[in-house]
Amino acid sequence: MSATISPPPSQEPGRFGGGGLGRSALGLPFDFVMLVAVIGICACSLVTLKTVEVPGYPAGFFMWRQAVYFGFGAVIALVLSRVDYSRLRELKWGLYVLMLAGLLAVMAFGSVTRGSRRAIQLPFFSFQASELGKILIVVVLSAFIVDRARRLSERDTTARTMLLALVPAALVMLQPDLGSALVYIAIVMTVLFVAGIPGRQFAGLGALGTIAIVFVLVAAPAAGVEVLHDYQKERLTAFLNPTSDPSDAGYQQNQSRIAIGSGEKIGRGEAATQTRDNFLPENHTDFAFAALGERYGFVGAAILLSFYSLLIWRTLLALTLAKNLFGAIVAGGILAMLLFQVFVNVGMNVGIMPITGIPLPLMSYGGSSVITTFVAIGLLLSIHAQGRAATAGKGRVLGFT
Amino acid sequence: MIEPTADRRAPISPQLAVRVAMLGTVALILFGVIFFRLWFLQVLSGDQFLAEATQNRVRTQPQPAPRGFIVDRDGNVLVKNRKANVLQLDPREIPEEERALAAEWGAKKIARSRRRPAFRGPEVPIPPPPPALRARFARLRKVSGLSVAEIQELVIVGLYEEPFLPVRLTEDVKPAVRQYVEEHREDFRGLDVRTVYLREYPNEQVGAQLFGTVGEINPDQIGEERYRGVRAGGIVGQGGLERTYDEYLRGKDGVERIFVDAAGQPIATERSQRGRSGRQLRTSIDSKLQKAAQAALARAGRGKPGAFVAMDPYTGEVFAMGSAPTFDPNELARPLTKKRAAELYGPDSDAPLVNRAVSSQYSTGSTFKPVTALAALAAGVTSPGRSVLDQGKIQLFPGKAGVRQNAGATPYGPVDLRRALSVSSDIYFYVVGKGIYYSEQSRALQSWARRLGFGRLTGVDTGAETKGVVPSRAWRDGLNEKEADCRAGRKFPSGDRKPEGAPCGIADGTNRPYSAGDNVNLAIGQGDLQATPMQVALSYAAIATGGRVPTPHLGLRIEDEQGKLIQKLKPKPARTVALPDAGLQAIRDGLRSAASEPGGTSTDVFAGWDHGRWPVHGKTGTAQTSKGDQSWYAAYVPRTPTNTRPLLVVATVERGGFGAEAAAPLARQIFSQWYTKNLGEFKAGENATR
Repeated sequence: MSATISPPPSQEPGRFGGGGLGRSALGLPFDFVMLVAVIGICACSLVTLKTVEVPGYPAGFFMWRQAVYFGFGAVIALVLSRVDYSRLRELKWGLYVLMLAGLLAVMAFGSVTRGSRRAIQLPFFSFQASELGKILIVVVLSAFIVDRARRLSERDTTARTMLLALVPAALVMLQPDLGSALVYIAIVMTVLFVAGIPGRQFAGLGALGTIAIVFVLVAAPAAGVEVLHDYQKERLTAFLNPTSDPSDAGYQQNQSRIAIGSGEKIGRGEAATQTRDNFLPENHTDFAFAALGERYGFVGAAILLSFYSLLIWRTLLALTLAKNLFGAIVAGGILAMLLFQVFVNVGMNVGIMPITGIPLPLMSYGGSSVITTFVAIGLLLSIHAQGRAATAGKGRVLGFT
Repeated sequence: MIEPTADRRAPISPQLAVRVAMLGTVALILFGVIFFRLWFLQVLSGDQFLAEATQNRVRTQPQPAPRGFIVDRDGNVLVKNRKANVLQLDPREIPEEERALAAEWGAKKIARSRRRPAFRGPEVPIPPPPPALRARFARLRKVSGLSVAEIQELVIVGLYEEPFLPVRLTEDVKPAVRQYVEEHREDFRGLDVRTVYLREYPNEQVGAQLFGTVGEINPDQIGEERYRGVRAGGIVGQGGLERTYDEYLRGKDGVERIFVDAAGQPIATERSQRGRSGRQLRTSIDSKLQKAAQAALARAGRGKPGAFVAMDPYTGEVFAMGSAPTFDPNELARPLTKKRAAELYGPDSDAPLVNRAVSSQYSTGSTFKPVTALAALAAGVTSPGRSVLDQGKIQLFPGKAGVRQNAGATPYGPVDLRRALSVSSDIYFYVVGKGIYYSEQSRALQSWARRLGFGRLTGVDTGAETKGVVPSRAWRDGLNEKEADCRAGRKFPSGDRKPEGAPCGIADGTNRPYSAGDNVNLAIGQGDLQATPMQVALSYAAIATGGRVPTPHLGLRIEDEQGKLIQKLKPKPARTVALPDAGLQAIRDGLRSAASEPGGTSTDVFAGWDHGRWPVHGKTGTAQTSKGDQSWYAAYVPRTPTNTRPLLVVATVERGGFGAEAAAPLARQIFSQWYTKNLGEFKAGENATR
């Protein structure tokens, strides 16, 4: 962090609780740097989707659909950025019920794609509850933990927060969607970390997590109970030994590495055969990064990653600027959500992480993921705006905004 | 309800700052890892991945070269190609379970075939497919037109016989089916549609047994010198002329580069290596003669099996060679019904696929007599001028069994060599046969038979020859020894258990040594003598040419597609046998007389024949077999100042009766077609001699 943060000024009670819109909504400060990062990522996405070919779809199909999602998402983000996010605290149980209802509805009415039931098919849109759940769980957990801010050091708080997160995570696991479940776990851990639970409890959680993993991978199979599906285990380990057998999970990873590697420094442009000839599977969704890497090379990939680092930095900044603990924790949760997805997805594209079906935020084609990310960005913009507004005129100096 | 106190916080407490710093560090590390990984992949080892990506999208596939045509001596097409789509199953996509079933079935089938027929029981049933395959086969039903059971049978038999070759389901699928299969590839795992060249035979049954078949090279053949350069799955000649001249006919497969996507769907194709179509083979076959002769054979045989050879006795060029019953080789390129397959291959069929002219061995009957004559002359047992009194019957050996007679006991009076051949006197040849046995050159008959081509391969380029048998003392001793060994043992030659001391049926029951009686039988072409029509033809070629035994052949030259000469084929040079001049003349005169003078065995068959222009030298034969009399005729028209187109014909009809009844009229029709372009009528002769 290159930001220099001035010592915190004293609170001004009147700014909180009552109304978020102390001044006119349009007059609120706006984080234009984050806007640049978001626009940059969206541009990369559209440029990549323009050229991918998916059998059975006309050229440019995904680009136009994605552009529409971006449009909707941008409107949502802009509206949210002008609203005080703190109001969401009041709605936490409603949001939690909404999330669980969505996940259960998917289980009940969802359509099956490649063996898992993840989305409800609506006209023009398939709704993935687990995607929207990512941002909802951030808000709910943050609100819950802020409510218990005075009892943060109690083990009870940690346990209840974990329970709150594990219920939807378990529902998502059942779909089965291991990737999203892992995102939920990353979010709850980060939320607890930012809220500041004692290090002891954190260590305890780590130990419990390790035991759970050992149980799932070693003890349960030994006892004859398989928690993970075979294909899930195969995917989780395939990146360790990629193969060229198309029926194998390692094949996708191998093709992805070949695509990225063959992009070399400046990319293959029109000759990007891995993407064009469909060697690269899911090149519009999970492996969109590889498609970009093949076509535009190291330069293209580095530019995209720069936009992501910019976004992450502005998220951290929002965290520090937040006018209240709720905002800080929400920003922390969003940071976990974005960073975890970026790292795991890109890591899986470059062959250092297992295949988990986690989308690359804003890059991967998909309405649910795009809308969810824009909701998160809207919240971040709101946190930023409210924080800046709260400190405006109070001598708070930030060196770089 | 919001709790204002909890909502408030000291913004960015030092603890929070530390946590923010930690989160920032984690983010930095994660981005760093990804950047370095990207650097490694794209900058440091990019060229290697680029190479992999390039290779990824190209699959090479051999592009089969069309085989060369086979044409007759005038350039008329006998064998050509047509393109066809075949459906085949990739053996790698067939589960282990099915392989195990196939192996088990094969083992049972072998065990069954080892048992004696009486104990074999019913045929080994084809096991039903495993459940997973059943569903796949059921889906194939629509595109292949075969039932699940039929597919299973093809797969089991195919896997057992050629475990690593694709199992061909149907040939000649329609283009629409091909397109459907290619568009729904994922529904038909392991199914492959390929364009292949299939052989086509525009003249259908004409020369059916000569060409042989073509088929995928089998693993044992891949190492063979003759198939050098053929890759696995390549199509090679598997018999007949196709096999003999395969190196010229097969051409060189091209290589096609197919650009494919991940699903294996071709996007574009590009020819990377030009193939070369096979060369054309020009044969000595005269398709008009071949066709007419086959028709004549069918007429003469009236459904009975038979064979003929028509060749140039001087060069060995075969103008026509046929075998009855015959078939349409186009049928073999299509899937056969069970019933039709049984008719073509089955144990109860008359084996239409067999070229009886070179592959079947028979007793030759009296057509062997000129050979006996040459042996007797050489052994000094007889001379052209010496006569034997033929009273129709003779006490050759003591006892009742020692009495021999002519057919119908017809007496011919005093007969010299010439007349003996003309009237086909058995008595004369019994006497000289016995004389040879007791002469100083007691093995003259065998050695002359071998010299003239009996008991050895003729080297004909259609292949699939049998050697025949020239019975001799050594041959019979060998059989007796084998029989004795077998009787002492506890197993039949087939490997089945056998009661101790039981006869094995290798030698005949008597276990006797070779005797004068055997030699006497051999002298008239009976007894244990076994020869192919082609072998008989070669002995007459030697007589016609004065001692040259040519290598019979059909291949003349290799040409390009336009018929331009590339290479002349050189058959093995003729063997030369020194024949006694005086004796040879007497034999020729005898043969000529037999076909043209009163009393000759085939004179009436050649009634009205222009003997002045085309002097026929012919000998009838009637071989007595357990199934009935086999009709033979061997004849030639030599090269003369007025005749530049010599022809040698040997014809035989199994169970056809006396030589003059079926084979001689058949031969006359062949001569007639050759010299007058007119087959003429089939006129059976009256002569009833052996």
